[in-house]
Amino acid sequence: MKTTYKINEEYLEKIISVAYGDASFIDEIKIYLDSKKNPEVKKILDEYRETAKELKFFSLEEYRGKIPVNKPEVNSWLLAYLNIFIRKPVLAAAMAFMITAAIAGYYIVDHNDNYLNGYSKAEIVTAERQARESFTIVASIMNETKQKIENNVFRNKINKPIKESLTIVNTYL
Amino acid sequence: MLDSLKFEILIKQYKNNIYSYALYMMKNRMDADDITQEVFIKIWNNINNFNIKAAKSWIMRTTHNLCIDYLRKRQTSQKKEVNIDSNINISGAGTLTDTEVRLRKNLLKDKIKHGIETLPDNLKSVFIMYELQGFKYNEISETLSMPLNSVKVYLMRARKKLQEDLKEYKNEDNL
Repeated sequence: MKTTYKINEEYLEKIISVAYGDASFIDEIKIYLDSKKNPEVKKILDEYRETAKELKFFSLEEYRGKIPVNKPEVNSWLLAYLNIFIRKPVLAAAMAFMITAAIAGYYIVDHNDNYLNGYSKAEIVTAERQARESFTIVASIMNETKQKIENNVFRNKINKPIKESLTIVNTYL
Repeated sequence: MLDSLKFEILIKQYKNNIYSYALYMMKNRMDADDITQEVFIKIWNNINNFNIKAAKSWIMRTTHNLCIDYLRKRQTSQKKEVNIDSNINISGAGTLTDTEVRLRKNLLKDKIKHGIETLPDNLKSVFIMYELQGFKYNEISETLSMPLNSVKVYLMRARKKLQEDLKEYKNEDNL
């Protein structure tokens, strides 16, 4: 039994939209699946697709005539430079950002080795040397003190009187 | 000097759009050249008032309006236009190395071109702007001062009409 398939206007418009590539995703799937089951749908879709595909290769006709207004000659490099900033502000902004980032990055990387917690490398070296000198001074003072205690304090002030006292006690006993 | 620079940038960007649109609407190069030059003059005369963001729709609206004016003048004078571009351009015609595939492709291209030229003006404007010049629906709506739904309806009608014309050509070829 032969079944007839009627394609109404609304459905035809969906097929055309799919063929030209501006249909919704759901319509695309639906038409694609229908075209697999229904040769009539496939035939219409293929016909429109062929036309749409051919249109994609249509390029604009090039105008080769004269431009009738007198204007001063401009250097092409200047025109190209301004062309970027007038026609493509997003491109100009991106370029400015990249240049700024490159300059900032250079300074950050270059000075990173020299700065630690807000102090420069030279300051840290100086502080280290001064600390070392201070420790040396303290160490020598402590040595002197030790010797003084051993030689002077213990020997003369403590040991000697104790020795004399013991001598006196021995004599009397 | 800035005006001259602005002018040059606009012309470089849109001259082919203007010319192509005029060529499809007028169907001959002489009128398309005249219209293009008139649009350039209008751009120059209004260069101080130009908002770069709205330039595209302004320029194409001006082009469209000039084309409509020319078509009306043509109708009233009842000239018989000779379509200089009506010849079928078969690349490599007469050479021994043409393949059947290339020949068919070129024929189809010329048939589509002729089909576009024979569309009614209101459908043709929308079709050219959308399919050939890459305008979006809202841009076409703004340029032609047309509701958005009308743009979509006209585009669909243009596609159907074009396909019907191509079917007729195919039927003629088969006769």
